Amino acid sequence: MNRVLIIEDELDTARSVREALEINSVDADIAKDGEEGIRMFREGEYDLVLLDLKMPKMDGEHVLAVIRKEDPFVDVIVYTNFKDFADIKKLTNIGIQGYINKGPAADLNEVIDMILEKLAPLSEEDIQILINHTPKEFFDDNKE
Amino acid sequence: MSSRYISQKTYADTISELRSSGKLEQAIAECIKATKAFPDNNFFYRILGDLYRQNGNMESAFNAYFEQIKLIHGHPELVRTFSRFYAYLKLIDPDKLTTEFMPRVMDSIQKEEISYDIKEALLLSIGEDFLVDKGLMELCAKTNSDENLTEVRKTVDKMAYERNMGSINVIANYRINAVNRHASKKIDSYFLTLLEHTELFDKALLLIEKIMDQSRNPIIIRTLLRICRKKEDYTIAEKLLFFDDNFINRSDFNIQYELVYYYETRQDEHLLKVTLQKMKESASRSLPISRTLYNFYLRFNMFEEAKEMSEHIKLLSNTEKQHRYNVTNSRIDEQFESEQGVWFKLKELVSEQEHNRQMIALSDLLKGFSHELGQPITNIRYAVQLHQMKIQRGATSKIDLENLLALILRQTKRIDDMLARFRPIISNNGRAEWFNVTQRITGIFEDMSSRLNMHCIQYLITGDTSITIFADAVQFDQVFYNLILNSIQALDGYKDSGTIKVDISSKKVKQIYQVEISFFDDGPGIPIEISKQIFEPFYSTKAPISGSGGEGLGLFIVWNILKMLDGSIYVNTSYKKGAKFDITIPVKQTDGGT
Repeated sequence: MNRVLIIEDELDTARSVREALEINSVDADIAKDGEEGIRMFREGEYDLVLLDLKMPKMDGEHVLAVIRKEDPFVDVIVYTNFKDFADIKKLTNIGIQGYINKGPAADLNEVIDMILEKLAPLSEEDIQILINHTPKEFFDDNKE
Repeated sequence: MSSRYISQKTYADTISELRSSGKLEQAIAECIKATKAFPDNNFFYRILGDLYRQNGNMESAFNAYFEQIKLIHGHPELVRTFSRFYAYLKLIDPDKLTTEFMPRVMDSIQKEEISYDIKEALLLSIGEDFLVDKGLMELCAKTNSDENLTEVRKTVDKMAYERNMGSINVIANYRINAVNRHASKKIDSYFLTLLEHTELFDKALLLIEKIMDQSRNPIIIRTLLRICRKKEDYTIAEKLLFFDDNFINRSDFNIQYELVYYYETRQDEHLLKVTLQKMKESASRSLPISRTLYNFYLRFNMFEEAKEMSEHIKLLSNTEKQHRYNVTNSRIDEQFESEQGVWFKLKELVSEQEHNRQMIALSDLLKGFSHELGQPITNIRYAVQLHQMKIQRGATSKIDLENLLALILRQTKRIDDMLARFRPIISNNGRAEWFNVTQRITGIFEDMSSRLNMHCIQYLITGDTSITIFADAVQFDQVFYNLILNSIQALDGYKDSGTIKVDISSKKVKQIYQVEISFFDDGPGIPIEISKQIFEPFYSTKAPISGSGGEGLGLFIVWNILKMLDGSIYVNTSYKKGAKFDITIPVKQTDGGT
């Protein structure tokens, strides 16, 4: 089962996301600020981090930098109110896999779909096709 | 000869009859006819003066008597009428007498329209006044040569200081009427400055017209345009200058600066923009000029250009010292007014910018506000969408629904609280008043005393208790209300009791008096790394709890209000015993003066 870390100071937002993920069989933990987020990230094993950029104590950008340093592969999706392309671009350079806007266009379904897609980039069918195309020797070698 | 006499007598009789039967208007009309029929007879002018005086028209009365004394050569005893009228005017309208009527008399004496014997008689009869001041006549004569510049300056500056406008008018008229001004170029430009400074714009324009007959240099053209701007009437400039398209190209920065205003008045947006572009091309390497341009862009709502220019200014500021050095070393007087001059213009602009500046502050504020509204809106949408998800899966409960409704109410309340906190800024009605700073701040502490007591926080106000400022008191209150609230929140949970101190002093910076207020608490303080961020909207170190004010608006509001009040606020990072804010507010907002 996948685990998601939600680093978000807005508890109402975080709880809705967590509950929606749970409905979709994804475990989620909530860290209420950047410091706690980093601590929990180090302690637990997470497949994806959902990160708010505007937070007290340590802002999201800083958290992202720390996470990227320690784990270059974990998926990170950021919440941002920034409409500014430059900000998004800067973050993409540090390495984010997606961003979500808050505000009047906020859509929980989109958030959940995006997270599920990142967690399982291939459908069951895709996985079967992939396995079928993989040379048998590959599996044999692995067994050794 | 006899028919002439009869005719004069007929006029005199008719006038006398009309006058005694109370038909003053008709008497005046008849008398005017008489002066036209016998223009060299001083008698009719005297009667005309009497009639006007009786009718209450002092200006026309003066004109009539004035014509009379021009005609009484050889009969100095006849100045009596004029002298009496003079004494009378001195009682009823001394200002008009000294600023308007007497300079004309002096002027006539200079031009020898009034004969020598009459002049002497005038000096005798109204002797106690400046007319007797032969020094003034001598001074006029001295203005013909630049060699006397220092002396003339000293005397005339003193007159201006004492507001001796009568004498200044006399000398100004003398300068305007001077025939040869080749030896008095410096004196003329001095007088021009003086006339502009004393706001005798019409006289200044007359002088400019005379100077321009003989020479045209950028300074005089610039002055002409500037005075027309101040007078809000470009008629003279349009008469003297040829505003073709090439005029912009041929002009230096200082003239271009004035042209911007001229084209603004003419509502010629195209040429206005051409001028701004020209200024930008030719002079944008200078910091003061860039700032001037920036302010122009704001004035004409050219926000894109303003933004670009503000970045340019940032770049230039870094090399400002170097730049100053260069300018000092290669100053070209005619082309380039001193930086100080440009600064003066800038100051002039700043007051005009007041409105725009507030608009920008407000637009920043609204941007930040709509940005933060996103949070409660997101919460509501997520909660509703989560509920929809549950309904689709048939997994809702009564508790879920109750939670949803509670959340919606909580978040809408939050929006309302946010609005309430913005209200003091948004409902700014610009009502400024004089108030005592210490009293006002004490009042805010008193209003908040229950909250302060609850947290065992004491306060202390020190410094100059006499300082008063002219500002919007409601906005001023909001600054300190929010700072105190900020301190209460910082102290809460940090220690059981605390102290807030406020120190008030005043200082003169760049000719402007400002009040300096230090605000300290003995809470945890503000780390250097966030000392700039804390004034950003919605930066908060407190977890958001609805209604507690922890949404990070307080200091942003403070910062915005101070911006509107023309003041500033900084975190004093060298203070280690808690948080310290240094605030400055001008005693009176810039309005071009000190």
